[in-house]
Amino acid sequence: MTPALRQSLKQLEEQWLQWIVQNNRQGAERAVDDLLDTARRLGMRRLPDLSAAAVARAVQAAKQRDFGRAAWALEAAERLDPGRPETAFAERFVARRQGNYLAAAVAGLRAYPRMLAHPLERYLWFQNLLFWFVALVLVTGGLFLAMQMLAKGAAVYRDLADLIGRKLPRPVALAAAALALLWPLAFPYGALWLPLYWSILLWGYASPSERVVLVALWLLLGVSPLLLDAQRRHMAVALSPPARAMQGLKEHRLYGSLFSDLGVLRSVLPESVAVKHLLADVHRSLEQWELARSLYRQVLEAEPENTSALLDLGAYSFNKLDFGVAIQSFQKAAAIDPASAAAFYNLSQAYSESYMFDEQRAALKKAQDIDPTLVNTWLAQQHRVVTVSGGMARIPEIRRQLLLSWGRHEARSGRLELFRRGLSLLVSLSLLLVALALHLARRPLGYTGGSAEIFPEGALDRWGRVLLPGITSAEIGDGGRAFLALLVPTALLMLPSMGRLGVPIPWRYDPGSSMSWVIAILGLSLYFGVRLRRELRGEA
Amino acid sequence: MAVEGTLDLFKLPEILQLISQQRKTGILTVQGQQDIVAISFLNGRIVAADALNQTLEEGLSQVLLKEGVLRPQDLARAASEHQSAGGRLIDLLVERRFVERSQLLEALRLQTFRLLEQLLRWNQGDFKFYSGDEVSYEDGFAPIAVEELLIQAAQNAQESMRPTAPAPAAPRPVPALPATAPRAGSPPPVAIAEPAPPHSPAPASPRPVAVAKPAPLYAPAFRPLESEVSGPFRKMRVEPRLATPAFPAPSWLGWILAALLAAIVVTALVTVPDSLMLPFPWQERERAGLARDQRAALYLKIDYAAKTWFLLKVSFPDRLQELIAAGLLSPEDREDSEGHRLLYAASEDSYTLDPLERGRPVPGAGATEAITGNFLLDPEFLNVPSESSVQPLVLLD
Repeated sequence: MTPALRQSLKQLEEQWLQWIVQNNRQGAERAVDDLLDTARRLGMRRLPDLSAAAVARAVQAAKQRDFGRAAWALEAAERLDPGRPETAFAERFVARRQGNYLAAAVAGLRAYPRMLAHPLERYLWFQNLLFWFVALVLVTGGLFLAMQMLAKGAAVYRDLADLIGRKLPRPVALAAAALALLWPLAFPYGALWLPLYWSILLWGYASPSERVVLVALWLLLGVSPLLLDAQRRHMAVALSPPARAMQGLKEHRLYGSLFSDLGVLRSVLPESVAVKHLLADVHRSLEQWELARSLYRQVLEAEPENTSALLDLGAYSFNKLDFGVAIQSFQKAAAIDPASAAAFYNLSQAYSESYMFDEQRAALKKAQDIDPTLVNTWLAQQHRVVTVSGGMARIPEIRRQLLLSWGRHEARSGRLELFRRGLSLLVSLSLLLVALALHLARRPLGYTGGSAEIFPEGALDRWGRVLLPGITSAEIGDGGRAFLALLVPTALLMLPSMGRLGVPIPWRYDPGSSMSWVIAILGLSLYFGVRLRRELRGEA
Repeated sequence: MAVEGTLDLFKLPEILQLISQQRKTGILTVQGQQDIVAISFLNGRIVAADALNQTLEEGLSQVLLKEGVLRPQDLARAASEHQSAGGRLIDLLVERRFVERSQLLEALRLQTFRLLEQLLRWNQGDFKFYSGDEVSYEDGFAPIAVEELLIQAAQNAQESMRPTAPAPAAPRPVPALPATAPRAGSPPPVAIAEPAPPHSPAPASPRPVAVAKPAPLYAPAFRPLESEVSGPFRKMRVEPRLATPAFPAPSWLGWILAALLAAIVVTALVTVPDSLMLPFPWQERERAGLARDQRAALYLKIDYAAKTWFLLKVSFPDRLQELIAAGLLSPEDREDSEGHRLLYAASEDSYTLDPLERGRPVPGAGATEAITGNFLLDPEFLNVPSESSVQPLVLLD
């Protein structure tokens, strides 16, 4: 890090302290202007740490009923890192403290869409949604099996007892049938094996639609570990310091540990040309040209035809007034990529500085022929030479390398490991085969037919059917409807636990889970209200 | 015993009256050109009637639909299930509460009545009466007296003034009843002693039917566990009822088993949610990896909160509770995904987090974070040499 850069960063720190001690809006606004000017000089547009601190200051001020300070702190937060959901959530808090519930509601409405506007948070939110959905389907599957046992459990037990009772006395047969139902609980992981075992037993009693649900659940149980493990790797990489640094650079976010995180990136992938190229771009944008030049040269050693590196290295030579070397770089870039308007534009500028006006005009014409709009813009903005952020464009490539590198830490190779990973899928397929084999073996002996009527007629019948979704469908063997009837209330009940099933999203101001509780309670009230209404009308 | 003849010899009302007067129990089959109808008698009263061309289920379903007792969609659902699960459609309709049993019995009586009414219009065909000790019929069915049938049919005929249905053109010999035919070891049905000539005119009064000898023709079919017969005699519940299963299971057993399973699922969701998604014993490594990633994300969130606090207070908070009170963390963030409470300890320029299990830190799960490397917090990071006055290079623009 050059002293010049350190000085700029020091300026930021001092300007922040200036903001902290301000007691009036004008002074605070001036401090924010200065902060943003300094950030822009470093090629950055957002200061997320300072925005979060301004949000915290606003909340603190609102708690002290200093709503004026809270308001300008929120404004500062919005300017320092525009569009953050945390700012809107804090605004909701401040408005609520003020007793302005309409403004609070408006702020809340603004906050939730913002949660999906930022790539990292959106990615984590969707990953959490995936984890939650898988857990939801599996929990619903467990409850579906419970419902099946409710409808058919007595028949399963009776048939087992009949089967055993052919050779054993009645009391022994009854006890043995109970043991035959519950034996998995005696083993480690019994809570897992019991539902799987029961699902096999239920196969013979199930209707075709119920069998489809059972097969789907078995397959999900086999596939979900593989899916979740793969997603977990992506998530871990997304949360790693190098990935956060790259995301910060992409969004021009200057946060406190950006440079440390970039250091981690370099140490994690020391040989990566893409990383060198990215770091070269970072140094260039921070005006650390000497460091950038060294890295661009390393990139060109590995990738001699890297046009963007050639252009940026040419720009370095140009800025050092070494026009001969600059012309060589630009000529090479233009030869490799004849469709590069930037290469011909830079070449024209270098020719111009070398008093080679004929060549200058020819190169400029070529550039204008390729992309007249862009070239005219450069001319209008008086760009002497243009640089290309080829390293930034390689962020997806670096992410892939990080993923591979991360996988190397955790994954173990070998056939045994491959077998271990695929074992869950093997188990799910085995469940299907065992169920079919058992059914074929049992079928000649017959099954106690049909589902039992779960509720006797009467008041209990009506309330029971309202409060236990899927029970009527389980009675008539409609597997799809029974599963879906259970899925809806289970989803609503599990909504507040979404954060627990995935990873905590690193919000800088926590919005809490009140909204999910509200949706869950309202949704459940509505759902059971509709069911009750239909039952009373005799439609259920 | 069996009695048989043709309808041009004996009119159907006469045959019915004869069976009624003699309080016979058995089955009368009447075969026309296009259909065969079987009528079951119990002590001279009609308890069931069934036609070959229309199953009991079809006829009954039509009556139920026509009378508005059953909704078409309910019938479709029941029929779909019936196709897959087997059993009797009418039993399914009652079990699924699409119709009440009393409604079903009423409809069945109506359908039987209509079938017999149609049958009474036949004037050609063959009949055969199989006498027995028992017949199968729907439990709870109110028997139809022959007199009642004949009077009602006569009234209906007068009211409707409809012409009689075309009689079968050419009678065919009565086939042996598929499932009720004599089984091995049973004597075959014996023909009546004096068969009438084919085209003799119908007698003015019923002729006595000669009976050869009683035969236990239906006894095997009426065994308790053989309640189903096929052909025109479709599945009917048999008197006496089926014996109770050897091992009856109490109805609450299903509730116990379901409650056990539901408790397992809910407990897993509340206590070890990760185990729902990675449930198998050999996935311990994946579960540990997921817990590690979840903890890392939680630590990152806490780090953001602690450093935001530092930006305002120039020190780390003494307790995590202060970050929660400031709205930077939620109360759930005091525990990791495995339910371990986090032990937080702060110093001047760093803090540590340790998940506790039974009061002791979980090995390898702790973390230490410091202000080092953060240009906004770390004074050393920005230790600019005083003699430096070099400005950032501005070579472009």
